[in-house]
Amino acid sequence: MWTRTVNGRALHFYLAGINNQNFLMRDKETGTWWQQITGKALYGPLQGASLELVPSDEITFGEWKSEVSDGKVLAEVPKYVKEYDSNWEPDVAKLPVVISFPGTELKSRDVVVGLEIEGPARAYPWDALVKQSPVMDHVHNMPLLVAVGPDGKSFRVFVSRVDGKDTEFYLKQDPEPAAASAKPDAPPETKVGEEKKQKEKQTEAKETEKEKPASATPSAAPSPTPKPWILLDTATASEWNFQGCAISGPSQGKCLDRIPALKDYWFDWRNYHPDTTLYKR
Amino acid sequence: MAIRQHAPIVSLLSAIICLLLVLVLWQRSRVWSRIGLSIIMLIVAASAVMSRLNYFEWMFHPVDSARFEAESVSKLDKTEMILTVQYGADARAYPIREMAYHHILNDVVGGVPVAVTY
Repeated sequence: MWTRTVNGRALHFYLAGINNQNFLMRDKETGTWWQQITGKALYGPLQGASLELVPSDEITFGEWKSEVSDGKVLAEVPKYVKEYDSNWEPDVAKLPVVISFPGTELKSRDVVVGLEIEGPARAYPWDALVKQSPVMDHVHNMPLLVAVGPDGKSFRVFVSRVDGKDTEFYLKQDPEPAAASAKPDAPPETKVGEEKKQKEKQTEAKETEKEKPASATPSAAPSPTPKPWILLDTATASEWNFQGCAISGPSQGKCLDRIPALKDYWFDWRNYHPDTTLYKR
Repeated sequence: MAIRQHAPIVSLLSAIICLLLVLVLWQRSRVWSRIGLSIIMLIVAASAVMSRLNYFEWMFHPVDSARFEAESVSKLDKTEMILTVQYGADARAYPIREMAYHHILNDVVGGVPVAVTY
């Protein structure tokens, strides 16, 4: 998402060319050609200019609704409703790819979350991210927190610093299971089980989260309320939500800085960031 | 790029020249030559027209005037992916299902002109 204002003038863009999964656009005011993925003017009167990136998210509607009030959603344009493809993700994934990077560890249509910190770029394979979230990383000396939201589909990248101090984040393991009230003798068992599990490696955090209800309360009613998704930081032991803001603890009220990131196909990310590194765990 | 830039005027001039030539030659031509001239004229005229049309916008129609609805009335499923932006109190969401088709939308959010792209 880009701002449209260049040299104090708001430009109006239209689609002018398609290039694999990216496109070229032109502005009505000067006819300059711009590249969608970089926001750079390639040709025309404004050649060399760059659009400013707008902080934005790629998240689920459910996540967004839980975060904003009075939000506005783009309505469908009635005459084009037939063109909107509900299965756009799998359908696009079937399209042939003209560029490939054999020798790299990912396949062309593998999905990654890509980011760039003042030059150096890094890509995080989506499947690995979902399994390992929250992921702590360093790119170009910047400490990062790469997180997949409670819905397993939304993602955000934050600067992992609180009050100027680098810190690490862990997914909080809630010692109170949602169905504990159904079985009075369950809580002590789960507390012990919880402590054991908290000592396990972070990569297994998601799996233990899923295993816990089944082993702790085998005959309990289905858990009615999902556990809140909370991160704990090692610097202040505060609790943080998926918006990167501390909801309790010494850091309450503070929010982490965000880093723009793009969910993209590997071939496309690698094409525009030839020197990108790949997150491996 | 330069050819693309000048295509409209070049194709128009070519079409005019071609038309004049066809008119001149038409009188002296027999049936087959006239058919040939007609075909050439059609091709040149089509080029002149096509260089003025944006076929990308045929394939992916732009949103003429964006309409928004309140999140409370939106029928989107909670698992649907959206692109979101917020400036001040103005929080907007653009369903990727729509943006994957339109590709680009010019909007103003909280007073800030933005280009939503996908």
